[in-house]
Amino acid sequence: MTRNKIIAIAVAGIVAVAVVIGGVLLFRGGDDSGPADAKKPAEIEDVPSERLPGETETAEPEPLAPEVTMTTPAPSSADPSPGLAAATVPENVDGCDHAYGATICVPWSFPAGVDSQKEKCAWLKQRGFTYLPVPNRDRHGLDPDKNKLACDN
Amino acid sequence: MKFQRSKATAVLCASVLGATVLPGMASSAMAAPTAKVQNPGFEKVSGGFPSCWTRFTVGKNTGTIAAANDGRSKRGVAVNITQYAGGAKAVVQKPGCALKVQAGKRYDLELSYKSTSGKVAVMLFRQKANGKWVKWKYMPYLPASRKYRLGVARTPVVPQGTRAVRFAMGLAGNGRLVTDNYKFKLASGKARCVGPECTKGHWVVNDFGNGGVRAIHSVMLHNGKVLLIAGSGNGAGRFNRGEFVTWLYNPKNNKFKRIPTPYDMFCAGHVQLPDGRVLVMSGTEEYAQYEWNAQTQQTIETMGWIGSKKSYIFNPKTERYTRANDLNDGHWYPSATILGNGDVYSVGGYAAERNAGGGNKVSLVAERFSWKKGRWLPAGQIAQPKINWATYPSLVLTGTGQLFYNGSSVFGHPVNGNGTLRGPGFFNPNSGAWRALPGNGNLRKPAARDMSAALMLPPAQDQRVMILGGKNFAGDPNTPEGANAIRDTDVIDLKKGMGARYQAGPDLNQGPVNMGGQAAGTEQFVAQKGTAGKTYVSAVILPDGTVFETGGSQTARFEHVHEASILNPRNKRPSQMKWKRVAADPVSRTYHSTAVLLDDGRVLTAGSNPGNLGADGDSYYDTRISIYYPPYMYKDNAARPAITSLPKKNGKKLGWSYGSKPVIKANSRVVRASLVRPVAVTHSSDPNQRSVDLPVKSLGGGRYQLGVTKNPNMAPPGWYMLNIVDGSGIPSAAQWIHLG
Repeated sequence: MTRNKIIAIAVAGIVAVAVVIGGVLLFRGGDDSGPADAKKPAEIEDVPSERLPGETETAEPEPLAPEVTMTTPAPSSADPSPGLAAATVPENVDGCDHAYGATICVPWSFPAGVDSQKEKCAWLKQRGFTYLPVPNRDRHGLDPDKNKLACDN
Repeated sequence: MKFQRSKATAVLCASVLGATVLPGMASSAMAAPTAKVQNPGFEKVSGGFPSCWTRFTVGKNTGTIAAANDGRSKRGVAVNITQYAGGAKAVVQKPGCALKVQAGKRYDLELSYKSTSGKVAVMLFRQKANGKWVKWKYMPYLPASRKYRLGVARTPVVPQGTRAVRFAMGLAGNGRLVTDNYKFKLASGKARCVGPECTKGHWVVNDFGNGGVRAIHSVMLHNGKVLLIAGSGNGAGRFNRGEFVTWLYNPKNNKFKRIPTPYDMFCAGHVQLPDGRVLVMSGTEEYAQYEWNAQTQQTIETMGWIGSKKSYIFNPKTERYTRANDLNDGHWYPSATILGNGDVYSVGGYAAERNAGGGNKVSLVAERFSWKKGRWLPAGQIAQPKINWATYPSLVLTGTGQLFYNGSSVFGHPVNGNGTLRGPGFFNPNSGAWRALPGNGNLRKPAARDMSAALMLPPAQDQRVMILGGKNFAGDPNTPEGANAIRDTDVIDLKKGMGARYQAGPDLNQGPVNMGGQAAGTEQFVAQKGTAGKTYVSAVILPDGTVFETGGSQTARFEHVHEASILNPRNKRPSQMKWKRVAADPVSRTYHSTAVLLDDGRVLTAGSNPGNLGADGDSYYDTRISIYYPPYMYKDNAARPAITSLPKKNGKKLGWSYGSKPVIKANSRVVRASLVRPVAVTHSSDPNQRSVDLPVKSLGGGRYQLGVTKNPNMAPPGWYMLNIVDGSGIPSAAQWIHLG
């Protein structure tokens, strides 16, 4: 047996042992993540180091919408002068009367059938308003005694 | 508001137990394991506690674990927690009574329980060949039940080298759990799933007390954490004090980290950049104010909201914000759509100045963040068609690279120059060209789509957009649309180009309406009636290709609808689609609420800002976080498909290129795969949410070749959640993939 053959056999033996040990480790299973390493999720890394080599086609062609033809006229003719009115937002845009508070929501309009001060106050109380200051404007007439507090009379 | 540390340490039961040593866990000294559960009904008592069982407490909680007389048969074990801050209490088998198992086999566990809390769970442990006990598998939380019900769990395949297993039944919240009658046997047949959770899913609610988050903006990060941005959180007091807040939430252990927040990001826009960092734009420069006019004897909004020009980038790796260059204008409520080249297009929102009368003014300036240059471009380098896009207009990227305004917006519609409603249409972000669909594209009730949800239905290749619910907040309260939110869902097929028209989809399901307050004990439920639907509704794509909608209210910031449903749009015409009712979030979720798909397949919902005053003099806010476990979490959870290998080079995970065909490995038969773009949502608006199909080719041996789209407009560059679905329709937990 030549020296090279002996080395080759030795290397093959080492590889075989490594494969066996690797196999044993593989099938022994993880401690706490599942029945076997074979089911362990792949390692997550922050940033991939390389892109996967690209190929030119996907397995299935994707239907694509036809591109919509649009012309690009000058803004003034494409969209008639927006003007101040168009860019101004109505006060009740979110359905709230913010005169009672910028971040809370007293309805701009109470539901049909909720008309009187008593009914409005009951509606608000049911929905969690236990205290409601009226700093100034009172469209809903919630503060008839003008003491700056709604629904306390 | 100061975060309470004790509350912050609240953790999920499973997480706590996973990091904790059970009694006897480290010991190898034990009697020979047996095949059957010993003392399965707790009838034999030794030393005041059922023999073969022991008490187990971890974390900060107060209560008892004791034998109880109201067991299913006679005696049971009651786990009672009266003051919960974290951890869990459980009844667990003693090591000496561990169960004998065979490697390679699976086992079925059965038990009876009743519980006042929905945070009860089965935990499995195994003993390794070296005698050490380790955690093995934690089952999803089971629902509360007033009467005894059956709980079942099938174990994973027993790993080689396992000497024995033990199990525990635990409670991770205030309440009382009574458990009894255990059976453990070799698995046979198909795994059973019992209980409403199998078809409806299950919610758990995490209450952080005064330390919770006003999560008005929620962004899923590619490390599995969720960025929850409050800014001033709709509180003028906090704004005036400069209290701007961001929390980084880890749903895996229910913990928070406070992130220094450099300016008021309340009502900003946000989107994940191609590298996974989060671009935040605009926010609040000044709150609206009201002045008393002595002449008219009225208070009017003479001081409208002012949008900030600021922009920052959040880095998930450093967990810090860094400043980007300023926008050209303020944009309070801006859109944020990522384009195929990684640029971000942003329009709408209130400007950096008030109008001449002092009120709110919509910015007409278009903004574009150049990914290549890493900065916002000067206005002169962007087409400026001066369109009034109103606030949070939903502009969805189509496969052609054009944007589609789908008709969904927040508090005010995009309008034409003459003030008329600007309905759905196509827009070219490069040229500024616009073309409206005739007749508002047949969108029903186009003026009632405020605070609707809109999303590209899965798969993105179908190019279909759905719009859900909404309300006309400024409408006549004596009309159905002005009185209540609507139930309509409408679907449009963008592949038809200018011929596309919305078609009626299935009405949203109705549910119990909370007519009372949001705080516990003030709720008053009535059945939803008539044509009433939902506004402030959240819609989330699930990893199995379905759409989950949840939360919302039928009126402005009140009358919260407790309803959630799942829709499968695949291969169905709009008229064939159907919402399947599932379990509703126990928390009323209204204005300023969000929903986010987590990478393990659960859904997080956060926030709720009803209209009444809070204790601090600003708007009330519900800071509880709910976690939804969809039905697929309960169907043989231990056998959920898993992605076991991804393409790597030199041990490093590779990013995926457009048009590539990566090969993955899976432990189950893969019938479908998809890339789901992580959510970045506020005010029901996330125009970038999408799920992109990856055609699957089986190569044998658990190897599957996937086909990545070659079109960046179909899947803009960035991080995605890769999910596979098995033959039973069960999705895997996600692996994060970088595309581009």
